[in-house]
Amino acid sequence: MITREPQIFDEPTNVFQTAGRRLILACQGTGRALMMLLGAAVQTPFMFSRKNRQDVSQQLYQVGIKSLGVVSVVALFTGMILALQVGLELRRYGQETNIGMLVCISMLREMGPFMTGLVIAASVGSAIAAQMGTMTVGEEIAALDVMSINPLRYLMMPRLVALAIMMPLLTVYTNLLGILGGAMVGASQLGISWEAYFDNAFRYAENKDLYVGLFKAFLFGLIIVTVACYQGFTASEGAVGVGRATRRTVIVSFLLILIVGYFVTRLFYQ
Amino acid sequence: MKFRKQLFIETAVGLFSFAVIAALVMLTVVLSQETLFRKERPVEIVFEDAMGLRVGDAVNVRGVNIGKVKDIVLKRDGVHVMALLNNPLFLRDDYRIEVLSTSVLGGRYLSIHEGTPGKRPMRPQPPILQGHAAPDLMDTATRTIEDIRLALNDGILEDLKVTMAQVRKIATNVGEGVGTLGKLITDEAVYDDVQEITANLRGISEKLGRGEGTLGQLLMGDDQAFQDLAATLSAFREVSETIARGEGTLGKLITDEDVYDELQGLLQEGRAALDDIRENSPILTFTSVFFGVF
Repeated sequence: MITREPQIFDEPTNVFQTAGRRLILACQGTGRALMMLLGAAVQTPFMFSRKNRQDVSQQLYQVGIKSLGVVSVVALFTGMILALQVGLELRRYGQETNIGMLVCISMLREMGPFMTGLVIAASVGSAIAAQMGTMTVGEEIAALDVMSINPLRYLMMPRLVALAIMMPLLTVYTNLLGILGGAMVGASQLGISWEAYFDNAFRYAENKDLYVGLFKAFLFGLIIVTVACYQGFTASEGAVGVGRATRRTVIVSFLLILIVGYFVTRLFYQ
Repeated sequence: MKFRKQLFIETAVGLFSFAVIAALVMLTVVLSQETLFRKERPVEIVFEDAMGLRVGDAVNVRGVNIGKVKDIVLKRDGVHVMALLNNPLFLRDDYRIEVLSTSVLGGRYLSIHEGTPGKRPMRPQPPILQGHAAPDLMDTATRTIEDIRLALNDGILEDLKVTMAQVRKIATNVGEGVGTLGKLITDEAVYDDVQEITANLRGISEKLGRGEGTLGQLLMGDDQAFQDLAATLSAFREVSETIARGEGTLGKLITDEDVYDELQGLLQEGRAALDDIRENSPILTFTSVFFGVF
């Protein structure tokens, strides 16, 4: 199912043949990744079984609790940098009290899900790819197939559930810490009281900003787990292949997070 | 051991999830502009033009924030703005509600002026309050700039150009040393003269200050000089009064017409005698020379 015989192609004779083959392989890869995502998604009802429940809680712990340290630092400093950069410019016009609004809306709409996505892609996504890749090159995945154990249900589904749940939760956490970081900079460097900052921050932000951001985070979670599992399951050539799969996971996840983030914003804010 | 670890993992994940979900609920409530534990008073105001007021904008009474805009609905009779206030309003007959600019960069707020303290309070308060359009800062600025532009195009710009050309010409002349002012700046002789005049004036001023000379003595309050001057003036007044009264030769000459006539007759006769002498002088000269020879 997951494991396949390697495809053997003739050497391309010209540029067009090379480009065409790459295009076909890209389409094949995308289709296979999406089929894997669907395959894992249909297995989610089994997450409450005794075995899978343990795996899911283990993955929730890995993705959520173990990432809290990095996510906290990134979130706090993202808010602080936003507040400082915007506040210094706004101070020239006597408008520094509006940094609350700017930091809050930026964090809720874009920076919260985006920064969380980058951190999780770099830490959790790469770890998933490395683990899956090692299992693939060690033919453990093939062994699971032989034993009629669905690797999507056994390996991918718990990670999919964990990322789909934890990404929005971590994003809420990132948003709150980012807004708090902005308030700290506002109070310490721009002379804005905490009350004035929070009053301004929550005056103009809307629930739409919050929930569109959480929807983005959910999509980013799906992207990270799909890319990581796909790269892991298709790894080859031993340790080098595992390293390549890990690197590709981070790069492709970053790019997809940026592109999908733009289109979701475009969809909801026209 | 494995079971305990699994228990710890599940507890940690559950705790984190509950905490974040609680924060999410609170954030949702805050962003909905809802206040669960505080009584809010709804107020409806109708405007002809909301001037860009947005939901969530502040409501201020005498510069103090007392609430925020909850909803804005466009209706046939105008724009209905629903606001939620934390404090009760005590409006008077001449109350005024306006949409004002927060700053030149944008942003609006609802300003409520409750009315003059001496005026009659409104009881009961009408269900829908009337809002007024306030002059927009940007519109006013645009209009002012347009007025200035029109005024400039209306001849002022041309006048300014002419004036500036004249000023430039004067400056050029002065720079080239044309005219008194130019010479004063460029010609050293004129400058020396002016400096000398200034020095002289300073000398005179110093002398006056020291009380030297008649004027100086007078200025410094010298009694003798003052008395001399007063006596001279008194004598002069006496002479002029005597003349005015017609006393003395000069007085009679001025006031007595007979004397004047006599004097005029005498002058006429004298002039006639002089004319005779002038006419006879060649004859007399010739006769005296002729008889002088013999």
